[in-house]
Amino acid sequence: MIVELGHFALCLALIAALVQATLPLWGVSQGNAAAMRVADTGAQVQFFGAAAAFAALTWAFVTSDFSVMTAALNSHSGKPMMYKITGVWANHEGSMLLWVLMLALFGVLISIFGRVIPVTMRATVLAVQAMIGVGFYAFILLTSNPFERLPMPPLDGQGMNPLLQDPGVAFHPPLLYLGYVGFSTAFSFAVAALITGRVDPAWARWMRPWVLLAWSGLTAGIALGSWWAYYELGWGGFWFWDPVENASFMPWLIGTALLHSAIVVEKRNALLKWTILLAILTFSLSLIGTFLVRSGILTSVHAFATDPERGVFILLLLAIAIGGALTLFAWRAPKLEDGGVFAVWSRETGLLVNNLLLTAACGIVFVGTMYPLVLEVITGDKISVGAPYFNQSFLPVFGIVLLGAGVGPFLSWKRARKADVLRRAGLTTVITLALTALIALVFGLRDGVGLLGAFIALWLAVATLQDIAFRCGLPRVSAGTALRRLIGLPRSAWGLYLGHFGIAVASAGVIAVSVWKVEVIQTVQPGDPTQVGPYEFTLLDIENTTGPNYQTSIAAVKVTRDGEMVTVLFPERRWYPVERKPSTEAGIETLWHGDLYAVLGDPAGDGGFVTRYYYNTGVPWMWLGAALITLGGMVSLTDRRLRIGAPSAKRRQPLAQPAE
Amino acid sequence: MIFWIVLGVTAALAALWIAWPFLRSTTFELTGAEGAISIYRDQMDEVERDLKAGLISQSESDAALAEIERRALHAARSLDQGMAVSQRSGLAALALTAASALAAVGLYMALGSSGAPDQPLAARKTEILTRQADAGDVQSRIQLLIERTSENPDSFDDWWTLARAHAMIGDHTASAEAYRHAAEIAGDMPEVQSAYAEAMTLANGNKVPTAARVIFEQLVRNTDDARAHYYLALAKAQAQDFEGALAGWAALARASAPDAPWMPLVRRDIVNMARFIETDVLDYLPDATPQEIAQSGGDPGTALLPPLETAETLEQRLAEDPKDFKSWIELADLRSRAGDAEGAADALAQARQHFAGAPFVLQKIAEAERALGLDLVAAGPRGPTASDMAAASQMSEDDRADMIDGMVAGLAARLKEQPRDLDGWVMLVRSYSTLGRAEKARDAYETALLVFKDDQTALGVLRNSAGALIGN
Repeated sequence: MIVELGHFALCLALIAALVQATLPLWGVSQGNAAAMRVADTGAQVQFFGAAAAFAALTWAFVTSDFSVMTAALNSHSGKPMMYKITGVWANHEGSMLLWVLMLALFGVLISIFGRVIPVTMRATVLAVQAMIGVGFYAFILLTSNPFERLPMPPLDGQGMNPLLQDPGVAFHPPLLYLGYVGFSTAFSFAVAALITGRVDPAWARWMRPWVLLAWSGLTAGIALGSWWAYYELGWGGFWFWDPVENASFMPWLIGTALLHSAIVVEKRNALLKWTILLAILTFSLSLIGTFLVRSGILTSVHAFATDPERGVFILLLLAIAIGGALTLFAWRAPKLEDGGVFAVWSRETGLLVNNLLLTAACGIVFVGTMYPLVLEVITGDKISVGAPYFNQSFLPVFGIVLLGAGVGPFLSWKRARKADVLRRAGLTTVITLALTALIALVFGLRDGVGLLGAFIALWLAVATLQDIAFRCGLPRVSAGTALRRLIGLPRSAWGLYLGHFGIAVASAGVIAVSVWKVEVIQTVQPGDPTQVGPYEFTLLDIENTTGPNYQTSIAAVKVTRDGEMVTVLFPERRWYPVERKPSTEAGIETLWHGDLYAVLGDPAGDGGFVTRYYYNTGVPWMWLGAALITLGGMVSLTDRRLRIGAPSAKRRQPLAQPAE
Repeated sequence: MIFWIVLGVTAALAALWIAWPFLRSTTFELTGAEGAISIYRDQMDEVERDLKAGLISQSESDAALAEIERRALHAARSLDQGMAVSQRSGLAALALTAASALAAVGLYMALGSSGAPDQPLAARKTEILTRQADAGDVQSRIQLLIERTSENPDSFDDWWTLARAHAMIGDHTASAEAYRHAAEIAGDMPEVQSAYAEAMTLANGNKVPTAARVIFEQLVRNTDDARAHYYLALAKAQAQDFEGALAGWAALARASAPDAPWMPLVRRDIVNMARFIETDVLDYLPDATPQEIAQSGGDPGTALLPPLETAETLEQRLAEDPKDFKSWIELADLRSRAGDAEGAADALAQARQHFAGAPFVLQKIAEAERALGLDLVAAGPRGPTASDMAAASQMSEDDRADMIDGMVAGLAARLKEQPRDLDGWVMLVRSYSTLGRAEKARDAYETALLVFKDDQTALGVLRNSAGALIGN
């Protein structure tokens, strides 16, 4: 009964979305506020339906109800409870349901916390949001129904890919979807602006918290995915430039640009059309990422051929959503009036340059990702665009972005004093050069590319700290005053500093691990020591045992430095009998300057084992940086001016006054 | 029905909530630029804060404030344009509610499997057991019967079938317990009483317990139950009344048709007992065959086949490969015939140790023991019981491996005699491949394929399970 009620709830969500997509727009055109407010109640019912459907599917997985086809194909009664639950979204149907659940979640949040948004705008935004929903509910119900029943349920399910039976990847999709789907709000706001013809600072401010939320989720999701690849795949790598990763990285790049250009709209009423375009593009890339790349429809012509129904439906949906929005943009955007003017030396210009660079970087990734896919579809030839392409084309552009991010905050709005900016940037250069030289001398580093990278990361960190000091009035004011001002900085400023500093820390980590990591692969007998950089790894012994639903070999690897004990690592090789698949668990010890990382490979036959040992310098900084960036987004979200919900009484009162 | 009520109520309430705005009292709503104005106020605050902090000069501040004011004025001009009216409309609400609810229910009825029940695995135990039982798994059938009897403890048929199923796999304790329930329900039905008493005896290691003897005695008084006569005689033998036992069996033999199913057993016991108390078997079994006479120790010789192997060669072979229960039984047979009852019992005791985990072989050993009359004369160690099995968990690694080997060998032996046991074959192939004996696993798999060559379903199961194990 629960499963069927879940199926019904999904149907209910589609109907609610249909109402929400149409009636409010009619209300807007007729000036009928009741019809507009149906957008709110519709969004609420839609969320109720999607949540109930998701809960019912989860119930089917938890109770191992194999009369539900999705559960039969993707779960197993012997799995630990946690992976029964995360198994809900570790498959196509379930992940689609999670996708629409997120979409409905953003809708209901706007209906509840978006009270400050005038009803016309809110109704239009929610209607656009619901149009996306209608498309995907229909897609799910007609081609990927997670509630399909089996008349003859099997005795047990077919299990779940062991690689995905891991806490890191288990919570990676929800966060990633928070990002992907969250950008739908930006899209809805953009389309609503085009429909109503109203774009002003208020519009940017209404949109901003949703973009921040989505962007923070996407950042955390990408970092979590990368972290998972790092310790689960057992190759010591964290980013492979494969289409799945790029699919999440492209919306992040454009979303970052959007986040910055929306500030210009809010503060200066400029870059209106550009911001709308970015909002449309961000969500379009999210859609392309989720449905063309991740779903595997384009990665393999074969997959498309076996399931043309799904493929055609998805392509049609994307064409309507992206094509429709861009057409609307081409038609309506010229009628929008752009506001504020600004000088060449101004923060507006800085942010515009940031936007152009990020868009270019995104374009590079887009070409590298889509070209092989498109080529295969057209000619059938398989080519792969690997790391060299991305490293040579993407990294230089991104390096300039980082340098620019350091100087950007030095520029003031509208018209900056060129001499001031140059003076401060000059100071940054001197400090950074000195620090880079110091590092090179102390650690004896000679790698030119590495030092250039270190310079860029340091530059951003130094410039950020320098700007904080400047905002506090240092060195002209007393320490006390400076501290008071530091505490008094608005949360959005803290968001800026945390975000930029986080990027600097993460970049430093990426550069350190790319240039200075040590990797050794060998066959060892227990007891044989291996030198890995300054550390000595020794395989002690190997124990065979069993986990909840797998067999495993756990090795103990002792790590010493100059004869002194550092730690013991426990890398594992697991075998999942139900799924008939192996998985590796790297043994990792995190130190402040890098990770000690050991992977256990196959037995070599003579009693030895293939082992891979790494000293991954800087890796912990990447995760710390990602955490700082995410935190920056969240802190900025709590800024008083963005706080969603009822405005404070102090601001309410004068609102009534203009009428007097 | 509950399903449709829940579904209907949910649909109605949800649809009503969608239409709720049409039921609110009439209100006017500002839709204009009030939000924008608060933004300009924030921007002015910020300019003033920056001025105080010395981040911008007075002239910059003035310019910025002037620009913000200009924009605020522009926004305020459009303020009065935005006004929308929200009017109560019951008709619109009703239409919207009805349309939404009907559409949702209709869509579900078109797509869903309305009313299909949930089937969580926990609730499907019976179904799973039924499927396994149908595939020939006795344990599953027993599990099912246990469930049936616990649900319906007054069903004679279920208890009766359960008792027989238990007996079939040699679990006589459980079998006796089930027969007891059957007997309680059936009352004085002689057949049931007799089966119950026999199960008690078997559960007691083939020693007739007092309770069973009482039942048998009662049966003898009221009926001519052959089983009762047989076991009463056995009880006499076990009470050292060998003459009485011989007399009882002889009487039973006289009273039974020569082709009665229990006759071979009775004749065998008479022969063994005659040998044991050194009396002439023909006094008790006038139609004894020459072979029987020879076995009873009467006239040694002519009919007796010369042993294929001497005890010595057998002992040697068993020392090399103890996993051959037939040789153990043969050895016991040879020793027993040579008058070495103790040695024979010892051979069987050793065999029991090697096959501690293989019920089938243990059963064969027990049968041999009885056939040779050893259970009456020698008080050798009894075969492994539940306590031995428990002790196995504390065995050394070698002993355990030995015991597992024994189990596998026992399974192989059983399948040789009862080949139509699909689960048995799958388990054998799995055991061999777990033990790393790929060749044996392959042999067993191919034999199983031959056994089930006319049963497509079984072949499918074999290929999917056993075949996959050995990479076929």
